[in-house]
Amino acid sequence: MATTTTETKMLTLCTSDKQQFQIEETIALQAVTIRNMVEDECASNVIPLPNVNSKIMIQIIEYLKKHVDSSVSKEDMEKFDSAFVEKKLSEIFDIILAANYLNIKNLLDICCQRVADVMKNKSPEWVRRTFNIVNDFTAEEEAKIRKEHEWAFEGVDED
Amino acid sequence: VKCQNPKAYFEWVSPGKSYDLGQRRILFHSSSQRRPGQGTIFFRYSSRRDDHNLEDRISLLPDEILILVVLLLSLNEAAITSVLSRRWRCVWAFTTRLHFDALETFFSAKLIKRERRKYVNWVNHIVISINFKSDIDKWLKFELARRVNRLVLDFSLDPHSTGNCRLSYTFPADCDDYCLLGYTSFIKASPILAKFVLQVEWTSTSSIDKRKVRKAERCSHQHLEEVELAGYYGRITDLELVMYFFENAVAFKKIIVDPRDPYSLGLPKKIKEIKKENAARVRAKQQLKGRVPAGVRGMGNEGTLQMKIGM
Repeated sequence: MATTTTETKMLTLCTSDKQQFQIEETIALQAVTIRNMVEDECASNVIPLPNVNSKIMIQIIEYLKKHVDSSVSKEDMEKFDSAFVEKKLSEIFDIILAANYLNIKNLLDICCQRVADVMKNKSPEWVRRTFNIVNDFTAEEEAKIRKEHEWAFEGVDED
Repeated sequence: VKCQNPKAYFEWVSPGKSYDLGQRRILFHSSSQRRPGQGTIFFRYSSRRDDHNLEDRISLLPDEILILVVLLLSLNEAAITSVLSRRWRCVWAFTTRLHFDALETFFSAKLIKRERRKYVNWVNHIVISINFKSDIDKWLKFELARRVNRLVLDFSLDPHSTGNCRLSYTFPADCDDYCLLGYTSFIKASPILAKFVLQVEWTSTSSIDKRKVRKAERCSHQHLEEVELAGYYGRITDLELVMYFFENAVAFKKIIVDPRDPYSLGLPKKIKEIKKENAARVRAKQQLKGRVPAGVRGMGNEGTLQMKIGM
């Protein structure tokens, strides 16, 4: 991987666990954070990404590689996206944090959509269980909020 | 720990902990109910793949991400998140896009009477629950407080229908009969409004009434610069509204009066309709001719008034 052709400029990304990824610049520049670093010339040879680990980086590169390819039809890209987010929620959260840090808007959007889809039309109990959210309201507080939003609770799936 | 089938009873174990049972893990919810008279707790057996991860990852995400997620939910779903935990209490209130689309609700004419009130109540409720205390005025206040740049209120029953779209919002008190001055209450409720556009549909009942010009309560509008009135038919009520602007908009720069039916623009016209438009244009000129300069200059307006009649 050390040899690069004169035409394809390569960038080296270094993740939090000190793994190095060498990828084509055009692929990496889709991440606005990386683009800014390159444009501001604060990145020399190796771009440090202390907020992303290698496990997540591999997945993000997979996403970026697909999305840099302009020959992929819109339909195929959507198929790729929906397959891409078929991951465990814990992984999705990791990707969300990385996509937020790297500023890759589309990726952030599809991952947030994945999370939102899980919450759609579900009771709060269900959402709490699914995401392990601890209910820290007192019973009175919760009853009060429920009363405030009574209209919203019509027609949700209980489980 | 005994486990025969998904709906098994278990001995008491520490809540919120997971126990490895071969390939699958069992999640114990601390919120499970203790059954009276039994020393056991009923636990939900679940094979969801994320169950082994008991960390509340989602609540640890930064605010902006939670807001992004909530934005992708419907309003009801978003409001429900407020009851999840303290972390989530106010996230939904950051929803910057409130989509109140009543089209479906209002689709059936039979339902309109009953549903409209319900819908208005519903929207009010949401607006109030994000801390705002007469219906549309309040919505406007709410929208403006959120720095909404463009607000479109469509009062026609069904925007896609080419049939008889009448104003479906009944204005309170002073506008019991057909009167455009009711809109002034919107404008009063919108102190930083810069541009006001009103499109009035011409109906078969559009006629020239002979009553006296009424005046709405005075209110100085410091920021209102531009007014566009499409569908100026030359009714007293049209004139009243224009006069209101002349008298109250101190920063007035431009008014466009378009004496054409905004809902038939671009459509082929019958001779009758062309005649109707010409008559409206003549009326507009007559009615506004003497009134414009005097009213505006008398207010010490520095801006230039562009009076454009017809196009």
